[in-house]
Amino acid sequence: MPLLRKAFLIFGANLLLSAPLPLNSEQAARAEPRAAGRVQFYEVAAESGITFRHENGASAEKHMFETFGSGVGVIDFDNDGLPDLFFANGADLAHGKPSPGNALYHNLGNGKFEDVTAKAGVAGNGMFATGVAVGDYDNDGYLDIYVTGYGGNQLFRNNGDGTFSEVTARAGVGGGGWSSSAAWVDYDRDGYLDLFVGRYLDYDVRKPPYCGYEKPGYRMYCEPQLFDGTPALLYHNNRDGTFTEVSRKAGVANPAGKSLGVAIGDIDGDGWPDIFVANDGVRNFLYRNKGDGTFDDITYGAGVGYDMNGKALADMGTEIVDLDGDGLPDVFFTAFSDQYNPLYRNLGKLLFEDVTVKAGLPSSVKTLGFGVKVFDFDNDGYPDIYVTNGHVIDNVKLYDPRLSYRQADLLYRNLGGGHFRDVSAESGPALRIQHVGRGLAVADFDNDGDLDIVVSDSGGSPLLLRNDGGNRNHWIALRARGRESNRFGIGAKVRVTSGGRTQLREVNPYGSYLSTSDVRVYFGLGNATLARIEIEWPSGKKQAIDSVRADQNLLLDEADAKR
Amino acid sequence: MRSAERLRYNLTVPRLQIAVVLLASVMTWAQTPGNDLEGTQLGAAAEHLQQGRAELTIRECKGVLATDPRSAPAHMLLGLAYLAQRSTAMIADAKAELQQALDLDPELLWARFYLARLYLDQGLSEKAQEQLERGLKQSPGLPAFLSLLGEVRRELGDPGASLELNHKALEADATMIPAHYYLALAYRDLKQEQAAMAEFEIVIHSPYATPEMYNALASLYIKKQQFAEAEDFCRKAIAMDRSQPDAYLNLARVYNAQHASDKALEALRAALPEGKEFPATEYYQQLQADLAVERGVAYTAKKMYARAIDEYARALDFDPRRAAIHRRLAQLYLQKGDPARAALHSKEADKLEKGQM
Repeated sequence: MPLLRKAFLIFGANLLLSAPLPLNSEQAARAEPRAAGRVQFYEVAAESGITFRHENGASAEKHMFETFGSGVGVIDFDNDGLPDLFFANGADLAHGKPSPGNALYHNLGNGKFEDVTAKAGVAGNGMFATGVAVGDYDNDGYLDIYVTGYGGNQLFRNNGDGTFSEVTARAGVGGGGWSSSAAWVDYDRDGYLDLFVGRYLDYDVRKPPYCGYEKPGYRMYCEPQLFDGTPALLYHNNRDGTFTEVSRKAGVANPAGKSLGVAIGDIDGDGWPDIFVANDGVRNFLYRNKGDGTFDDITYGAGVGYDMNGKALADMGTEIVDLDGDGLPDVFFTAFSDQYNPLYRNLGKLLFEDVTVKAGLPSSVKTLGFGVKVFDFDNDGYPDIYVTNGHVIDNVKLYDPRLSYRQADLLYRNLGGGHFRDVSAESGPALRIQHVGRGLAVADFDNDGDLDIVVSDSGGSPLLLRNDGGNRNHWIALRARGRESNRFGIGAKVRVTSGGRTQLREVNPYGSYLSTSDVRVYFGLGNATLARIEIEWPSGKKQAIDSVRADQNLLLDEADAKR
Repeated sequence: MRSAERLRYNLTVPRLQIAVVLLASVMTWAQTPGNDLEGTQLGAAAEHLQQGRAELTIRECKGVLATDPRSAPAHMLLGLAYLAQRSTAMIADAKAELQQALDLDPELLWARFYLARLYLDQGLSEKAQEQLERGLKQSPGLPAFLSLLGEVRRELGDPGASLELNHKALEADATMIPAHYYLALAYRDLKQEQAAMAEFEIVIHSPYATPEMYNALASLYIKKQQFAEAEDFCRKAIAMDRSQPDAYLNLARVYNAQHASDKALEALRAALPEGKEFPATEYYQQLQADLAVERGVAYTAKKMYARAIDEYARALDFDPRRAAIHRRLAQLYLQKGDPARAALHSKEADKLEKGQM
């Protein structure tokens, strides 16, 4: 007899929506002059020609994967400088129907997208697809697509002519079980992208347990604690189009993993990419890359495994980004309703502190967060946080009238120094849309200098949120071209100095939930019109460019870098 | 079937016994060279657990794991400390730690044992069986494993196997108190109530009695209409764990059976106090239906028919399959002079009773 999510408690569940901490006068004074008018987000998916509809396969059996949603991948598959879109799709497995297929949309550059799935050959094999990880694994200059799913994963190699070849078996990355978020990461810095794949529950579609009250309409999706976890997979790139699974040898195959979010970042600044795994209902994993092909699970010492009360949260999407401008990447992740979306500040020396409340973020939220992106939506030079929401239980209202299945998203504006304010209500009509948000990615689809948002919806149509007004501030965008390093410079560190401040970002389109964002890195410059750019490649080479003019897309070539 | 034994995460192998076993295991590990500080910390962690200080065990274990994330005994102890907190919120964490302990050291028998115990509590009997059988392959004839395997087999519908395995466990270790508890449950399933009561009596007179054991015994005494004994066992269960709703429910049944309606209502209020949080499971669905039924009985006895009707209706809202409650409602509506509604409930009761035949 299954126990359900503790979050679905019938009585006495108190909603503590804490108000952000009052700003001190210094913060308030700093905040307002940088506000470049209110940025507004407008939903334009339909008018852009995106007709994709997600199949979640919702059934009376309430299979767990029906709640999962699917991810979205930003991929400029034809290298025309316009980010295209790939949507993974689910399937009606309960009725034995294959997936209607993934979808690839070509960005035409005029605000319109064209469905090119059939020509590209990326619809998939009918499995229940979940995550999308875009990366150039063979260094041919074209981005490839790895699609995770329930029952196996698929790798689509970009042929460079608008078509893809399914090379899963040859590459040896089919996995198995139920995979979630994945990320390409050159963990051994040999110039080739390796692949980390988070996996979720050990779930048997033939034996769905009954959860919830035994009354018509009350059956609900079960809690993950009823199921065992599954270990993550790490595939080492053999540089010949094949991979070797090294999860156990590398020390990342924890059998208790119930991974939903995966984020990559060099948390200790030693040049080796580390891996953070957000788990659902069990502690998270922070794997420190030892630089010898193996990882240490440093979660207990680092203090990112549990919430501020020492309890494991039901974590979903995650990001590793420097949010407070101290040059150390912090960790943020989303969690369940009546929990909170914690922000862990990197204190250095492999230590983190939960600063959620100090940062002005709520200590409890009614929403259930999935995808998250940390990006500078208003180009004021301070990275902000966007969270997409949507409950997992479609009939949650029967159990808790305070909660709803469809939910609106959240936008937290960074006021400087890692202090945030909820600006969802004032950021346009798109943030009032009630939907079932899951995957989330950002890209500058219209190349106007500000980052737009794409959100996948479980069982519905995706949202494409156009950013209007973010480009009132100055910006700079960079694309990395690796030579000794992997071709798209994944893992490179970019520092941009302008107006006396330095911002650090990694070329790292992963994180969030089941999704991949634009491989280009965007920096808001506020009022500044010139910037200094430094890049540190995974190969160890470095280069710096002074007095770079704002408001342009730059290609940084490793050929110009020196050791 | 509602199974409080499973859902309440009662550690039927008593906490003290857990800790003693653990202590020996951990101490053995701690004697391995080069692990002095870690061994000391783990020894302290085990000591805390033995003394019922799970929070301190957790702190010590996390301290060890911060420096040595691959310490299998630390993962095991941490898992057991989570279990000792007796909170459904910690199940997943406990399981994760035990699994990690076994992944690092498959020879950690007690991690396997408590993982099996946890699976059993979750209603995943096949998985529990798999772990126990694996453990018995590693260490054949281990009484704790035999005994728990018996209970697993009972859960899987074979109380006869439980009798056999638990008797075998007792032959190997006559002090194996949990075996008596599992025997009692097996005898109860086999409708051998006298034998069940005898086994329960052994358990409750041991230092390892748990509220669930007292409550199970109370249920048997209620069935035999020995209300004084039943009340005594309910009160003992409540004294051990005031958050135990089943004991209050049984106490209310005892009072209702003796027409002490006010006392029954008082016990029912304590079963699920206003504001108490609980998961949305079938167990709690049935519990709420049971509580409403007993309130209906109490209000009927007090001739507060409108409230009794409300309570019975509430019970049916939680569980519409109860023919007996439809019958009671039919009777109350007749008394109230509403033959139409009475007929509806009678018809529904007929339908359900036919379906049950």
